[in-house]
Amino acid sequence: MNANSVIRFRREKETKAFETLSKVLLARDILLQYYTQLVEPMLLPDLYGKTIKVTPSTYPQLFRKKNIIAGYLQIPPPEIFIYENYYYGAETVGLTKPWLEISANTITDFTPAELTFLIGRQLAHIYLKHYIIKVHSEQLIKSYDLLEHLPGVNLINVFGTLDAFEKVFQLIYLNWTREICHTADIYGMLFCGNVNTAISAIIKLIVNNVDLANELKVSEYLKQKEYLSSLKGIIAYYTKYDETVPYGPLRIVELLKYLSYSASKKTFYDLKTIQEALNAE
Amino acid sequence: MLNKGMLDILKEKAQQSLDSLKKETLQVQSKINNNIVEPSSKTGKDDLVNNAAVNKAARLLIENSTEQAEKLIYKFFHPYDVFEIFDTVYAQELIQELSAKINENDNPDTYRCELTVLYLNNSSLARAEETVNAIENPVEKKRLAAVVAISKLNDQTLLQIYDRYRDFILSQRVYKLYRRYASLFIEKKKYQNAKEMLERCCSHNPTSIKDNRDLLLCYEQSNEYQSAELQRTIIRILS
Repeated sequence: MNANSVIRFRREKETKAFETLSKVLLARDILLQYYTQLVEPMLLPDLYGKTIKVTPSTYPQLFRKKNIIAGYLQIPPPEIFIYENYYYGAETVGLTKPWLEISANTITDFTPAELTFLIGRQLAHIYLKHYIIKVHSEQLIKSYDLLEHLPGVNLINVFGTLDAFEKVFQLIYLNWTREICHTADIYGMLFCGNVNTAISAIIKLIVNNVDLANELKVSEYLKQKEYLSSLKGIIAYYTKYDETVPYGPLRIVELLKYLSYSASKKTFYDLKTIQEALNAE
Repeated sequence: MLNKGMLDILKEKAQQSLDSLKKETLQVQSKINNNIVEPSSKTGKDDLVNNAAVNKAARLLIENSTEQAEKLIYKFFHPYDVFEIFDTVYAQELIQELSAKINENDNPDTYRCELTVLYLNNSSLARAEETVNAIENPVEKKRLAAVVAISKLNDQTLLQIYDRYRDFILSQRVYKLYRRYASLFIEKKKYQNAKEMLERCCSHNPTSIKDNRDLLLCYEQSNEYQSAELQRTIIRILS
């Protein structure tokens, strides 16, 4: 890859997770149509009524960052909306024209470079079309819930069949969401251009407190990964596999794994121009 | 919203669940019947006996469900990655677990292959060889037998065969083999070769300070300044 070509990669584990998920993803057209015609329009009034839209004159730094990254990835720049919430968070929402939602505390407590990491992650989701699979899967899960209320069909769930099917599907879906999280972390790190920034952003998301996050010694925190690996048995496995995002130590280790190779390090430096543009005041 | 395909799948699943549940109910019922003792008095002892039997049946059902849930989890997810480097205690536990699964399973070759890798990474070459000999799949047997044979070579021969078998060695994902080669190449000051091995070592064992420091040495000796700079950052994070 040279400095002028757009990065495009997916981790092998993400590809395998998607292969498993795609075998159980049903009724794509119907569900996406339902979302487009009914669900998405219902989100818009609250979106414009209860949040603040980022514009060239409202939080221009965020506006600039998303335009630079979207321009590099050659995707339409999504809108960004800031909502009131105690918890740190940033996520991609919507289908026809996905947008970003970032909590207000995230904007105030994250450094500009950490915000680049977060925005970079979300734009990677859009670039890699994760948002389409996410909408499809989440609507399918909701369908299973609704099936129970249909006369005749609800008999199937007398013995918990629907619940079991839904749970299995959920586990497969969550496996995929964890893998795309790792991929997005890598993109975020490449855009912010600093491993420490990526790690500090991840830790802030976990502990939801700036001071505690700044005090944390990462090498000590990574020892928790060893303990996680050793947990066995059906309860431990089920609890681990029921998570939408990977555990914090695993996210950081995955970044270090990516950087093991010279090719990855080269990619890191090939994006220097973009990184400097993003980090400029 | 529902299509015929979805309904058919759900009906099939429902039937399977029903059949399975009927079978389990019969098994549990038979166990309860075998355990019920004729009431000998009106002291309430019969209630205690019946409660004990029901509790036992419930426990059997839960264990059975747990076992089935575990099989399902294993079917879709692999709870461990044998190519990762584990703490010795956990590695031993995993070895015991896999050894038990080989005896229980109809298709034990997957576990034998995984066990071989674990033995190799834990320097148990004799056990690795024994496990490889039991593998039935001829392709996997040949591949892993070659890895075991290479692992048994002395340092000098290991270096001699490298050029000829480089691609094969690099594709096997056995940490111990990479680490051994890395140490030998560093000794011989062949830093490009060592770098190839150490990048793989760091990928399998990303929190190892030694592997990361050796990789830094390779970058420095090869004048790869940018990679060295990033590698220093990684080492600072881990220290």
